[in-house]
Amino acid sequence: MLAIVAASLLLGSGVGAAASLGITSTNLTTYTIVAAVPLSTCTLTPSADSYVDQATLQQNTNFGGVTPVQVESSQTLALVSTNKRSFVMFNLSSCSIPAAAAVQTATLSVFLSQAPTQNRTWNINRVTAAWTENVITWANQPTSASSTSVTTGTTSNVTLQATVTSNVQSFVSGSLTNNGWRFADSVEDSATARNGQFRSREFGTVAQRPTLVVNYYP
Amino acid sequence: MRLFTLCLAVAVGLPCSLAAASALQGASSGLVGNGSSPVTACDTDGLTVTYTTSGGNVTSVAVGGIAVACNGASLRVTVIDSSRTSVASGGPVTVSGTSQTVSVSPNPAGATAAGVDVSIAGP
Repeated sequence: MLAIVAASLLLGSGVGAAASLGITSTNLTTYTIVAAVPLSTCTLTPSADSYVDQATLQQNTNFGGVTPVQVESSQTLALVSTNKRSFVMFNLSSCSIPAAAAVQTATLSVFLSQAPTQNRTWNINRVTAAWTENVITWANQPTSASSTSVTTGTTSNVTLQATVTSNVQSFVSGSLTNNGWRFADSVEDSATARNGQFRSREFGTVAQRPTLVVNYYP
Repeated sequence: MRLFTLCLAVAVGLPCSLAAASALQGASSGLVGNGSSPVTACDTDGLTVTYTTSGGNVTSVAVGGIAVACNGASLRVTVIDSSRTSVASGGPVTVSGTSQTVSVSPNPAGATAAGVDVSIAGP
């Protein structure tokens, strides 16, 4: 028994305090309980998503009910830009994450149903103004701020993931407003069209819709 | 938030029962492990712990599964990190019933806590 107490002392348990009080092992109970604090997790599908098209005749067209959504770098032979950008937003309030929570990871995933024919870098920018799914167009698209990026590869039917932990922590705490993210090619106006598409929230297979997975300590 | 408690046999090989889920927000729980050899004067079948967090930090530890024989004893907890270094402590509190919640100070980040040393002296 004494050996056990000594071992516990080395491990820094409460035995040391007890011993200093003159308490012996005959009336002492000690346990070391190995237990991490489990993370709370919230998984969301978008509350809104859409894409916008820069082509002259499409700049005022809304694609809010469409699946898939698209990201494209392109221009016409006349050097007129015809890029496409996508927008996604998640209703974080449905997670009921406390404002003071510590967000450990936040991962944004999209299912790439059609990869570009060339590997592209898509910027995933935090949107800085409000928008709505059935109103947004190229002409009225909101502004955005740099956040992160993802490389597409050239393989279709894969999931792309981006870390947006910092953004989500700010959304939860209220220091930034959650207007979702914008996907855009990092080098727009490609002479050869580089188009990629990912499933939207309207897609029938739930598992292929965009997701935002937030792990946090309340 | 869904809460759960896992419980494993302690080093002495005795079974322990599942603890009731807590309704406390930010609470979490863990399993009884064998990080050190237990001393079992008043409780022989192991303990469970449930963390309560606020702002991502551990604010208290609820110790469950305390044997009735421990009533009246003095209970202390030490929250440890993965290297078994103390990061917070709480108590002493007098055991009353089969579970006891102890506030800890300071309040370590949830990601830091890897376990709890529980010491029950007496009765």
